[in-house]
Amino acid sequence: MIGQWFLKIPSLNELATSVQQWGIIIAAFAMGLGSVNIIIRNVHRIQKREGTDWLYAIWLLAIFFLFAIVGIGFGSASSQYRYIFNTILQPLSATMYPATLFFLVSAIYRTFKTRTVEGGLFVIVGAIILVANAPVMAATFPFLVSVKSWIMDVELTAAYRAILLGIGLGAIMLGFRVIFGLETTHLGREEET
Amino acid sequence: MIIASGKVVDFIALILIWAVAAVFVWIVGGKRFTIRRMVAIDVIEEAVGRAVETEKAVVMNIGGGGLLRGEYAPATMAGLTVLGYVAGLTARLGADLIAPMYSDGGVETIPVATELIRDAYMAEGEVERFDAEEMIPFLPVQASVMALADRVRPAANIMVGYYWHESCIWAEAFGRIGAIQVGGTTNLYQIPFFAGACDYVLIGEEVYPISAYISKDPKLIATIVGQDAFKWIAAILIILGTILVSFGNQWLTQFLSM
Repeated sequence: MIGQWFLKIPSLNELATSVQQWGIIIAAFAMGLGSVNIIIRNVHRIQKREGTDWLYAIWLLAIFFLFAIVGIGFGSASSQYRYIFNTILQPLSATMYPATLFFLVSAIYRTFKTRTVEGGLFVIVGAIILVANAPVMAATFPFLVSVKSWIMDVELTAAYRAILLGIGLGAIMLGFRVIFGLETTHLGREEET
Repeated sequence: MIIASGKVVDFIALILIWAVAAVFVWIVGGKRFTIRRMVAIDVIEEAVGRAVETEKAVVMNIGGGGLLRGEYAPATMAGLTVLGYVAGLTARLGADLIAPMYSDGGVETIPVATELIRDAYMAEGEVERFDAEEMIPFLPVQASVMALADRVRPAANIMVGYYWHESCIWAEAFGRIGAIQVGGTTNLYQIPFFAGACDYVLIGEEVYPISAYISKDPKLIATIVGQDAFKWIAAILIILGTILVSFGNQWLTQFLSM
């Protein structure tokens, strides 16, 4: 895959396509395994009938099979599948997004109670951005917009790029460890040293 | 040229990075290197100890990245590494572990996490305490993880993996009930939420070397040394590029675009 990305060798393209297809097949098996896992666990929960959780397990399995039957029967691009997706999953997911606002406000409140120097800086910068984003404050104190722009364009961009650089190098090195079999802890196996 | 246009320097850089890492791992040997302290990882043992004392559970969450999408899988792998470590600690110290699996994380992580936790409990001789159904609940939406926080009221909440906006929702939900929180993600836009709401944070690249830090394996630590060497090279190139461009010289920019 690395060779296909960097090198102009036609045979590598064919090989990479083949590997990608294998990847899709393995991924489908992994998804299938996970789905079977969910079914087994929820069936066990229904069999045990402890507390009220088993009622939710029935609901989960009903919705699971509804989506699976419609998806497999009519295809995921069909109007039937789109209908249940747009009327069940999408509104429920969208409902969660506004809730983020209240948690953000609550998180800001807790952060503003900080007593460390770093936390203090965090609060000052956060407060400037917050105030400058409010149209009333920006109209009353125009210099705040310039301060905000400087923080966003210079300080924040520099910090973001530094973190991105580290993440990129870290991912490359993680790839090295995985390819050469050094990294196995995520599979639960201990590497012999 | 055999190398695709615009990717020449990238390709050479990748080969060099891996070559340097290989030299550090297999020729120089990793035994002479140490890795700096990561407080966010050190505090996990303390948090599990507190959970034992207060007879509360430890919640470990690996986020929503899953293992099938290339850009998110590395963070999930790091999360699984921490999950294995936390499972080992809870098995050894006697705390209850709950590792909720979130549907956006891809159901494929469930069997992997299950085996990982079972392995950890088996290694500590506590396999009879392993109960997949209780320990690894499938929680399909963000709200169900928040409900878990309220219902279980754990002593610690550890979140390492790939997160989207649920980072803020979950960190705040667990923060409100007073759980010690450790957060770590490679999603740039979610790091500030963890910084604001968690007690300890792993910022970006700090998530990747966790396995080296936990295992203290010299070979793994040696790869971090190789990574740091290239960070210095990148810093030098940035400074050099800034100076050259400031004087109107585009040579380095053109060279890196080859």
